[in-house]
Amino acid sequence: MTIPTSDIKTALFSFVEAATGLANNKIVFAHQNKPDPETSYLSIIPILSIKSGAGGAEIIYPGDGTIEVIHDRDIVAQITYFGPGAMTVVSSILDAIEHPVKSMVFGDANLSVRNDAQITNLTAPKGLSYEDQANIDLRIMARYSDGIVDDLDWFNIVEYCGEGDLADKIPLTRINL
Amino acid sequence: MTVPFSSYQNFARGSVGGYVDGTWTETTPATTASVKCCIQPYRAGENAIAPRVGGRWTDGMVSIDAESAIYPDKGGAMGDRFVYDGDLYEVMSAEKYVYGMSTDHWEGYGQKINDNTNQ
Repeated sequence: MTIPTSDIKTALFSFVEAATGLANNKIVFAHQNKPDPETSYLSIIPILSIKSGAGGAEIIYPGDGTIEVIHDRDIVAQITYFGPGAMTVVSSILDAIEHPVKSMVFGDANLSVRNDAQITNLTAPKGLSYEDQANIDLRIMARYSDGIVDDLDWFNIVEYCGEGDLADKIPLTRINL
Repeated sequence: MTVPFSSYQNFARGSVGGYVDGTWTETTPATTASVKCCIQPYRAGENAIAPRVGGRWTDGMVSIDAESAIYPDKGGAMGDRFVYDGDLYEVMSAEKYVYGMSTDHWEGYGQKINDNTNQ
């Protein structure tokens, strides 16, 4: 399989919704070319970056001619809140990461999560006044399998036969794959 | 009396949009209106009403002169949708011009709908 984008998005949304208590229609995935929700809202970039995890890939040889590769990925998700009390809202997400019950949604999706960067106050001008904005980055860890299940076709014929003292001692045996 | 445009254009009307579980979701347009109108690509001199990041652009925009009403978005209701030159557009602005002569009509502009992000 490829990187589980759908699982990451679903887990992130559920987690953020529960952590902040915001209404369903006030939490949006960014960059949809659609109108922003009116007044305050929270925007999620589910995959800001991807890199190989610290453990590297795990390669398994089951012994049946196939190979299974377990990829280990560190994914950074970026969450930004636009509106009054932004630091408090985003801080509630950090609190939820440390709360086993609230962060369990990631475990249920075979993911794990931790804080990746400090919460940053990004308050900026908007129109004629300033708007509260705050940001937090989450690091999501994912492992997913990339199996090779077809015949590898590395060889077509294997011949067992003897050399030296064993010459002619081992009957010729062929394995045709 | 209105401006006598000769060709008809279908406008899909009445779809409603909002966010559900983080993703923009729209209903199917409720009606289709057939409007006599003239649709043209924006010319270089018509670049005063499309502010975007980095300046004012006219890419993917058309001007519309219509014999009867066309509607931009209002509240949760989306603007009229129409197909122009093979692409889907949405009416972003519309105003009625009444001169008291034979030139009453609606003027507006449309913007190509861009769905090229789905992260």
